[in-house]
Amino acid sequence: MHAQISATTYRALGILWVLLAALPWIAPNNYWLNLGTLWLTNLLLIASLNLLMGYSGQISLAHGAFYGIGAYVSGVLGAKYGVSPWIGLPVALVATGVVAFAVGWPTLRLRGHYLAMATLGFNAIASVLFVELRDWTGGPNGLVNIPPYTLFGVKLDSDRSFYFLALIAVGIALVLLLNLLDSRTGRALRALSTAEVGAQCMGVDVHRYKILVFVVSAMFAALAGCLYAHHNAFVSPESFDFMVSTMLVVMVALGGTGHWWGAFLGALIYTVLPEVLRSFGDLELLIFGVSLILVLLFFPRGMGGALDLLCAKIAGLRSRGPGAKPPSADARGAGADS
Amino acid sequence: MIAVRGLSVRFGGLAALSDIDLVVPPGTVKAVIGPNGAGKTTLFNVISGVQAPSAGSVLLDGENVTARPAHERARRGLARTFQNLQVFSGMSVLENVVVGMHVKLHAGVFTSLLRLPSGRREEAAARERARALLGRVGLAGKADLPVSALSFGDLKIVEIARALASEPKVLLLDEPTAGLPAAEAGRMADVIRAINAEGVTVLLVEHNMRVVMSVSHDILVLNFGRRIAEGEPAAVRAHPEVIAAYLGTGLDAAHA
Repeated sequence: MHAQISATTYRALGILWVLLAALPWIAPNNYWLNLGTLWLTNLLLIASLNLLMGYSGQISLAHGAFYGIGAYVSGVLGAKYGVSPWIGLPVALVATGVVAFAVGWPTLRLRGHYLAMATLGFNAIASVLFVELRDWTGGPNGLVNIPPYTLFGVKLDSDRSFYFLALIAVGIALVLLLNLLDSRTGRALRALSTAEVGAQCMGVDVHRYKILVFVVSAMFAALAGCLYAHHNAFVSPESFDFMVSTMLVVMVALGGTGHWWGAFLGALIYTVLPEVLRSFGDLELLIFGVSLILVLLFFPRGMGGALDLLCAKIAGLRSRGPGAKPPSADARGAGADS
Repeated sequence: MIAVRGLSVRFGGLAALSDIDLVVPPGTVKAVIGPNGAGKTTLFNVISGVQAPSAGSVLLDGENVTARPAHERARRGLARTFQNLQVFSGMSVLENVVVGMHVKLHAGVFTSLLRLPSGRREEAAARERARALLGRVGLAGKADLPVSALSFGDLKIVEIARALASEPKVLLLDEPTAGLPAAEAGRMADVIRAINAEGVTVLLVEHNMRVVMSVSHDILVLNFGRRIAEGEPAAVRAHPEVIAAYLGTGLDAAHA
């Protein structure tokens, strides 16, 4: 099920962004601000994966790898060659797009579990390369001295300035995503995800569109990677391993596959839950796993789906409230009068 | 114009279609009939490009399209509906019809991402046209409903509207009245005649003989993947092998 994209969706996104812009003045300390930045990055990763999984019906266990390629390309260019991060960004996007195309061309002929395995294999290869291309990436110890973004000579390395940069960048990315979903391209993607043969026979070049969405989705992940690298000033291979890719897939499902706002909830869980569970030590993963299974068991359409049910219930209660007469009673009343 | 030559499809040892020749002259309605398992849907799948034939060729406007994928045949003016439906769930009825216009619209990925004015204009016009199309087939009131809210019969009509949205030259209808109440079958016949009156060539698989006899110029009868008769409705109706294939009951009684 895909929630309909409408003018309301854009408006709600705009309102949310205005509220988020106030966070630096509301947040009691910079810990919250950094959590906000982390949430924005995760949101971009999960929303772009949702484009691929939720709206286009494909699966990728390599989203973490594309996130990493974006981070390393821009990071290495900045740290080793002194290239401005503003130049590094488009280079990283194009490079990731090219790699995604090369990976997607053969693998997207596969379906379901086979596609999952093929992309998982690619993520493993990328992880090895992040470690072994030592001269560039710094190997297992990671890449250090990644320069921050600068604007008019001012370094955007304070928590506050970077939060705003992330807010703007992710905001633009989300609007682009919405635009895409609500267009001829997005419609073709949603069509092939629900009835592939039907889409083919209506003239949708299914393989081409699958590659297209794979590339676009990977490029959004690369953008998240650039933001992460130049915020953190340091990247290391384990931030982009298959565990990250798996967690992103889980968060898409947990938020609600193909649910626009589901990605926002998935990102919230992905960002906040580890912080909350930190005090539980080793129990963290266990609690995490069990709560995950419970949510998906009772809400197969994820938290987004659960939210829809809740809204429908509230709307139902309101219409049955004492103020509003049920329409059937009105009709009967009118019938008796005449 | 659509034609197939020497078409055979084998699934392992089973011959679903054996050496079928078929020509549908432009602007006519041709029906393919036959008992279940005769190979009618397989024929449609081969013509539309969903299934590759074991032998033979498919010609669209005189051009051999046997090796061309389904989406390219759609671009060349071939559209179809499905016996068991291929609607896009999770979309509104209107959106389903707009997908049918895919080949007529031009917005690419950049126009889409950046929401360029040209794309917006095209989109608004497409929705307008889809709404008009739904009005023509009597579903104007249901345009904004999710397809999941519609009956099987209504969805059959949505598929026809979606196929028409691509402005096809040739339309393949796979059992358009299956699952419809008897009263609506008559309406479907009217819809088919109206489509044909606009110059669309129609190839039809159908079990309802009243509909077949009233809309077709020409009928091909298949049984176990082989052609057993072909010709005008009256001639086919009287053909002894056809009567035998329908268990000797006669065509009129074969379908209530």
